[in-house]
Amino acid sequence: MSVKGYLPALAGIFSASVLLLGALYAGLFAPALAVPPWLWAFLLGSAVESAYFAAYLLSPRTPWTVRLLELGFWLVPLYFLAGRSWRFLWLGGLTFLSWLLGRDYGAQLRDMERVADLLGDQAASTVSWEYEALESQGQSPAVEFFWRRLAGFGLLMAVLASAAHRRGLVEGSHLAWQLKLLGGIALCAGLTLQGGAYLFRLQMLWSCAKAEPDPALPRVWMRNLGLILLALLVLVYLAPVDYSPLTAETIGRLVMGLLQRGWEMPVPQERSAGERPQFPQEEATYGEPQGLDVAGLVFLIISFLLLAIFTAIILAVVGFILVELTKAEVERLRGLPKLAAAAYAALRKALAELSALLRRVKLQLPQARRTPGPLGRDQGAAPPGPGARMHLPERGIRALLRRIAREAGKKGLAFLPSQTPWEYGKLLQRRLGSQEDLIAEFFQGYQAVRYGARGLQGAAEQRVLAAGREILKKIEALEGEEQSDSGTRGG
Amino acid sequence: MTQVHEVAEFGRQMMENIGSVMVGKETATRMLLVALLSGGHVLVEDVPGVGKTMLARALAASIGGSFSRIQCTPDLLPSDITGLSVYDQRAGDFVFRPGPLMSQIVLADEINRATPRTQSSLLEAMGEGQVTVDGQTYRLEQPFLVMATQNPVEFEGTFPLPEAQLDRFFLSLSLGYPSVSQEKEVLYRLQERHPIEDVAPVTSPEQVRLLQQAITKVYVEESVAEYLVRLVQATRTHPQVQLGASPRGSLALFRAAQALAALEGRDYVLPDDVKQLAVPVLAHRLTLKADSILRGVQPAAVVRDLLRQVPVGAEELN
Repeated sequence: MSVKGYLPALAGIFSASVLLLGALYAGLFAPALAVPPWLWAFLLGSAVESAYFAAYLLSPRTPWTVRLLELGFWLVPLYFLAGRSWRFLWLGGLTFLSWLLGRDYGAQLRDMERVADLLGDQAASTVSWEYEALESQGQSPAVEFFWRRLAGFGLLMAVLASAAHRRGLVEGSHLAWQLKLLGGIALCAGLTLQGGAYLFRLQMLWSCAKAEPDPALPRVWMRNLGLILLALLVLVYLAPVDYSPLTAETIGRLVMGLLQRGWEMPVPQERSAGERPQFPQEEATYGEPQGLDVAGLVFLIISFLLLAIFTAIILAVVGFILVELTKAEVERLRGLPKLAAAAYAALRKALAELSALLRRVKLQLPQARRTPGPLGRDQGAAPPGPGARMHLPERGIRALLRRIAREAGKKGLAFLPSQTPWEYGKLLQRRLGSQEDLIAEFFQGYQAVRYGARGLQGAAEQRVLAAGREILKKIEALEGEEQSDSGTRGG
Repeated sequence: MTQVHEVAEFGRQMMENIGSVMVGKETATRMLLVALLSGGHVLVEDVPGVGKTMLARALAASIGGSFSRIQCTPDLLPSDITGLSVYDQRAGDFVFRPGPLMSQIVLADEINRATPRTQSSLLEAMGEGQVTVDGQTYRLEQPFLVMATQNPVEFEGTFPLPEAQLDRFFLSLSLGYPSVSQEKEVLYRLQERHPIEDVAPVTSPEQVRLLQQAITKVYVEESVAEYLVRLVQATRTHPQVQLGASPRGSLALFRAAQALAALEGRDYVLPDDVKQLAVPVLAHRLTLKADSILRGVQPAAVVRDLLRQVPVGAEELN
């Protein structure tokens, strides 16, 4: 499934919603610039049409008359609907801008598809080459185009929203719900477009490389993107925005108070909107701190630690989103996104290690309980005998190979990291001599379980397990022979 | 839907068929089949007279495909291999006469004797599966396999293949001299007539195309893919290597491992497949440092050294 068919629609929705948001805020600042509800249809229609036209039909040879007719299709009806007044300039300008934005996105999608024409199939099949080649041509990498626009429009909308809220223009306005709705649509469309563009680019590269990834990948990709969007919408609309008392202002006030007054902690005062923060009187005189003690320093350290943990959590969340979006291309991230991805990777590794540690402890506890003896801890940590083997939680074929390798390792038949399981199997075949078929059966079964897509089921699995247990017995017997040999030699 | 067992059956029949012409070249034949199924091209570095042409002809005859041979010389022109447009007086127009490159199995003998210009004209055909003559692009009939040879001993008057072109070859192999018994068998087989004349097709080019599709479905478990990538990356950091294998090398090794697994009747790849293919697929892509070359280090030895170092990652024993 190619996502290209959906991307122009998303680009159109994003362009129209961003421009409408801007127009609504402009209407709040200057009521003369208010836009009528029917303009929504014009902005959306022109952006979607322009994006599809650019993505599928537009070429350098497209006559200018066709382009002008296309633009006229939107502007002429608008001229009459605007009442042939000066308002046409404002409404027509917005429609033209929406049409241009859609065109820009569509053209970018078309260029992304032409990567093989520009670079040749072989080069296009190599991600790094494509990246470097595009950069050397003075073009920004394909996905950065979408990212820059998303960030740029987001920043612009944030500035407008902040200015409108500061002036109290939104509260109580009949446009409040429209602004909220459009903000949500722009966020969803923008992020879906970003994720979709990334997937589209990968699909292009896969097709150049003639690679056939899992057909379910686009569906999984979109599902994950949907989950992230849902989480973001919940965060934006439901979660509290003010994370007090962990604001920079509050922490700054606390720290300042501590440095100035030692142990006595100032209590943050509730203040109404618009009121400037009231710093303690001592702030005016930066003299020697009075009574700065250990408790103050401890509190300072705790504050910094809390701040660091909070920052790490935010970085890890951002890293999770980036890793989910970029998957294998995470290594190409730079700067802050790279730091976020690294924070997420570190957190994941720490959790995995913690989980492994807990599992090990859980495994060792029953063994320790089963084998209390004079040797205490050492005996408990040792692997149980053959009788108790299959009562362990790890009793699959892979676990059995690990046991075989551990036991054989003690007899000088170590499973080297650079050996494949089958190479190790052949080593055991040479050593155990008469057990060639048994070893071949076990190791072939192991390979099917370890490297196959389907594994082994039922009777086949039982046969392989039986073969493995037999091999284990032979290896343990080998130890007996060695001991008796050494005993004989010693005698 | 073509299944993996059909690939295995194809491999068995091909080995048998080609084996009736080539004596004791099972490994080389298997590698050639891997390249054919992967849609790649083969570089054979060996001395004259060990059966390179016979191998290519036997392959072409076994799949019922067209075969042509290009004897590369310094005066060979690109148009000599791609074909050219000649003026047809009766039609009053230029008519395209296809060159030997338009066959399905092409043997480019002693490729390093051709000029770089002619060598590079092979690039488009090998990389893109098409040739462009007089601004007109002609698609090459699939399956398309170029088997290029070069003499590893004699270098006078040759134009060594540049790294970029070497990288285009999916794998490199060497046939080697036969043993005494094998050479004796060759003598008796060729006593009356050459067995290549009796080689009948065991499959068709269409079937090979289907099999090429089938091998892409072979499952590669993540740890095997990771091992493969680590191996390729290790070639880039090896102290004796100036230029390691490219990501194209990883792709080639990945696809070759899938083909080998399918030929052995498995629908999943083993690390053993990667190990078996590492030297043929990676060695010719390495550029050694000058001092290593002077010391007589061979790229294949470097790859074998890496195979002894890079962990397979089968099981964590600790």
